[in-house]
Amino acid sequence: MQKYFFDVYRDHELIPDEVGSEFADLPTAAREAVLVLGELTREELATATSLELAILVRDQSGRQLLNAKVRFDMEFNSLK
Amino acid sequence: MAAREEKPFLKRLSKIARLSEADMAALEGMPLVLRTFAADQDVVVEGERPHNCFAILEGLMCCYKLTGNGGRQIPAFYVAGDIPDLHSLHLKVIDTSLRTVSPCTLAFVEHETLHALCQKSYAIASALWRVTLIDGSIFREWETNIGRREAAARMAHVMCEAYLRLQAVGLVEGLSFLFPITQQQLGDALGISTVHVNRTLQSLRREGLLRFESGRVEILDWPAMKVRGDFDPGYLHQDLSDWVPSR
Repeated sequence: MQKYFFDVYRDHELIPDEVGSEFADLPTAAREAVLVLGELTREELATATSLELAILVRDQSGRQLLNAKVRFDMEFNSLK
Repeated sequence: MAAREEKPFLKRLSKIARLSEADMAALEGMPLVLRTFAADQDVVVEGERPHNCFAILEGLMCCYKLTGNGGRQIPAFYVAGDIPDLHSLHLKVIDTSLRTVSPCTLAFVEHETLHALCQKSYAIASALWRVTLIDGSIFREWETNIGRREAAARMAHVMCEAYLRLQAVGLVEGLSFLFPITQQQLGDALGISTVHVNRTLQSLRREGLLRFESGRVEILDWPAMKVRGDFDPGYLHQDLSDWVPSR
């Protein structure tokens, strides 16, 4: 098991992961990043109509291993 | 034979039912077999046909269900004083697996013994029935929690519940209690990923509501936690004012 840190960027504001979580390897941590992005997107969109969420996974030494991003926009078409 | 104060299920039953001294003495005199389990051990596995029930004397347990592709959901936690498989008294094939979260001491009692006690005392039968009804009420609340509340509210709700259930059996110190659970198990209970559990705990801490460190929970602001968790303790039925059986 290795410790990975999942820093979240919400509309470019950094929400750092100060504790970290343990996973078997990077592919498992990557799977987790996908899950978290999905969960956070759903929660954030309850109160927002546009969103940019990114997760940056780093290891204990601070090395960046993975960057995953979700972008959501919604526009009402004007009635003609 | 363990004394009354060492049997938290007697305390629990006396909190959810009005039992006479004779009923309490009968429950206290039940022949029990005590067994200890390490953490992360199955005690009963889905599909088994148990001939006894057990009460938790010490430790934390959960029930769990597995999906076809190996996903795990924890529908409830059990603390000292609970009788997690009491429904096996009437539903012969157990429909959920029960597992220790921390090291546990469990007291097993034969179904036969419980049936005999229920036949003798309507109040005891009602008390045991009430235990399973409250378990059902907790499942309904959890389904609502997981289906309809966002992650931080789910977490706050489950922590409020754990606090009140442990308080009922005298296992809290102020607003702090032992809850030796991993973030993965919390994720399985709340239906969110481990990293999301971690983030949720950090955000509740930043909000000044809750601290969770090395298996100990400290509620920092009880009124605010109840609001955050959308928590109304009515579903735990810890209030005895609606207790009726007297036959």
